[in-house]
Amino acid sequence: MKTKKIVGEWYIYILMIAIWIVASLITPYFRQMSIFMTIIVFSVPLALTALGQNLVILTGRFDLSVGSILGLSTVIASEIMKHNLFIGILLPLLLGVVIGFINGISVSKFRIDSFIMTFGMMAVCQGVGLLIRDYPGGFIPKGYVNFLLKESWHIALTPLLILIVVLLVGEFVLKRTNFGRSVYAVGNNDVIAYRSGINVTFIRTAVFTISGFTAAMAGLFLSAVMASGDATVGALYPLDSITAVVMGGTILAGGRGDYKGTIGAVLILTSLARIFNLAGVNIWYTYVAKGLLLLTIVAIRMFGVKEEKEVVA
Amino acid sequence: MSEILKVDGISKFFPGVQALSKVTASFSEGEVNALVGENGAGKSTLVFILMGALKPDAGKCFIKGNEVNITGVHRAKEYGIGAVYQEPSLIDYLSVGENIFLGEQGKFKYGGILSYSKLYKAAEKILNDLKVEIDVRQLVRFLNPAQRKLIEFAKMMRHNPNVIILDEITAALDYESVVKLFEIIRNKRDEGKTVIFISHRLKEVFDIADTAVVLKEGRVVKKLELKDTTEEELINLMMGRKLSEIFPKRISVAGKEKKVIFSIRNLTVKGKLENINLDIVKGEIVALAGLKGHGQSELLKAVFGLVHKSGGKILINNKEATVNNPAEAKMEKIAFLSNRRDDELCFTHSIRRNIALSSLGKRQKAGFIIQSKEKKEVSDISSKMNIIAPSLSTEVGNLSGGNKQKVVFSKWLLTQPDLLLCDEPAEGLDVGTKSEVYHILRRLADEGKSILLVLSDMVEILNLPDRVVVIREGKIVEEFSDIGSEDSKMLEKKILKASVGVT
Repeated sequence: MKTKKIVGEWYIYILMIAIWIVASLITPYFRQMSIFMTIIVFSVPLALTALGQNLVILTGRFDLSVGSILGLSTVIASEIMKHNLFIGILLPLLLGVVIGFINGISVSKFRIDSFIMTFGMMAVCQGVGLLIRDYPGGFIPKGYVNFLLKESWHIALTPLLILIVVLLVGEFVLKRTNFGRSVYAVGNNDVIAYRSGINVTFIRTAVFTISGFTAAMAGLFLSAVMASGDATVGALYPLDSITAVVMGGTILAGGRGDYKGTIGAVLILTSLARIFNLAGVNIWYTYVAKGLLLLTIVAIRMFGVKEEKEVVA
Repeated sequence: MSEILKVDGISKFFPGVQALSKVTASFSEGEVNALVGENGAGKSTLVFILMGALKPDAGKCFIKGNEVNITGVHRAKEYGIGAVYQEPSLIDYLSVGENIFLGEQGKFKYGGILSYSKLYKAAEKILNDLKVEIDVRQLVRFLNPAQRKLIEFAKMMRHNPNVIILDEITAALDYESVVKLFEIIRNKRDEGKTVIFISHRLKEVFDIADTAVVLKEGRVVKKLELKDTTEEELINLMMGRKLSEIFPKRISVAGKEKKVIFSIRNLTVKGKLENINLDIVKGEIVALAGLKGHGQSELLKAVFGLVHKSGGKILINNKEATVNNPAEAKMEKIAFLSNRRDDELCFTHSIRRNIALSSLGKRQKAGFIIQSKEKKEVSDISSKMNIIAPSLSTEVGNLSGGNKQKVVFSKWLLTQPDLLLCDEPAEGLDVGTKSEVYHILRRLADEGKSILLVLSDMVEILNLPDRVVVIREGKIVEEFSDIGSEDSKMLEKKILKASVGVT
């Protein structure tokens, strides 16, 4: 019983290791340390975006604007950092918070459907980003890139650290704080949460604000990776972040799930892209594989749920 | 009168409970038969079996003496059995007529095109037969609960069944609608139909039914002719024990120091309540009685800040308190326990999480939960409330109704309220658990908490509270204090009179 539960909670990591083993059998490149560092580096922006997305989905909503907030953030960084590094970091973060807050207040207070709201916001941010910079470019300071990406002893220390810190913070906030508990309660049933004296409007606004913030953070990181700004770089992040959250075991309806599963799914998604790349497979197959993997995992989980129900009835 | 439907030796086992064991009963033409029993007695299971929605483990069904095998809802229809269930089954965004013929629109198809004029004509005919005046072209979403029940009744009548099963059809209805519905039921009975009527309200059972089959723990206790039976006899049969064993003893409040801690002044909720004035003393249990839907639940909700108050104020210890939402109510030490447990509990979350939810703020340091404190408080209160579960991480959805209600109590008691508002605290529970809930309430009152209840069950009204306040049409019409000392038969009559407004 106990082992079954542990496997259930950590199955995504078991899957990840299985994928890595298979990959290292297929291609010799996958037996090198450097490939894992690449995976870590590319996991960071998705992990950050998925943290915000995870909170939003736990309350039973979506955030589709994460990708263009991310893109906008790289564009602004590439414009401002050459004048002032500090403002170049602060401004994108602030903008992320403001956009997230607008999303949040519209969804919570004015009861606009989150799908529509963030869909519209996605277009707005994308447009603004393209107005500022309609082709990739700009300037990101060398020192900033080095600080984030420099490898010491063949280990990309900063990204690894970011990943670990983000994982710990995410899990801690969800499991050990009033805020986390309230997020679960709102997602499970906001009427119950309201009647229990929880400020539902605040919680809903907060999760979208956090999502805007983490997406902007992801943008700042990605701008270092690309050493430039690109308004369209985040195009796949809404899809990928939602995929990661759902694959990680969070229920789309809200109220159930965690962040450690999401991180596992982020690592799997990033690994897949690398594996396909290294194996010389056409990059578009990655999308097919990601989509199929998501659907398979969801299907498996559905069977699990059904069984559970029958036992209870 | 000839027998039309007979069940013989029906048994049904669910994991952990024998829902029905060897139930034998027969129902005659042109009679209203009541099916009575506590919750969990097996009434609904029997209905599901008759409707072919459940397969019995053993036993036979006979219709007009012929053995039938009701294998599905469609077969039940063919055998002339129809039912109206307690849960609503209408689609809001379809018209009345479309709802009545939902799933059978094919009847009105001509060359693949649905003739709405024919459909509405047929629907009108059914409603006319029932003497119901509702526009068949209207969308169901504009109907009130009573009209909806009538439409569900009409929907069942489209097949003109001989056996009509009504499961808790009156639960959501007010007095006038019940009267109207009973007229329809009597008409159908006089036409020779067999009605199987299920209700928790014994008054209604005596009002409409000719006979009653009493179920208890899945067995038939007795079949009675209601005209030779008293209400008390029926209650004793249903509960299997005497009232004095179920309710806690009242310590007379007369001797106690009367300290008003909570007052409602001129409270008005537009369209629901008018100028309500009420004082509640420390350690007192006050019940709001009267016919359902006359504003009793709204009063609790208004006090808790769930419903907008259009006028009046609330005084706590003689100081005015602002209560515009549940968060503020909680700060004023008010707790509200809804009668709908799915409005109170996150079923997929653990017992611990549910219990901790309302009082999160009491155990935090800079937003972080103090785990050890939470663990201790939750396990203390759950053992005090006698919650029976494998562990505190068990999902609440897997608990029995009684244990769920105890989780609700625990959840709110951790907020350390001075005033508890409970809407039908024992609704839907079996006798044993009901009795436990009554004792919990009395114990809390003795500890000095004030309790304001909404009750509709006359047995509860007469035996649980210290004081009864009758509300009719949103106004307090009468108060009965120190009711423990009055003769219960007389009191019951007075309360009923006040409820319906006859002098």
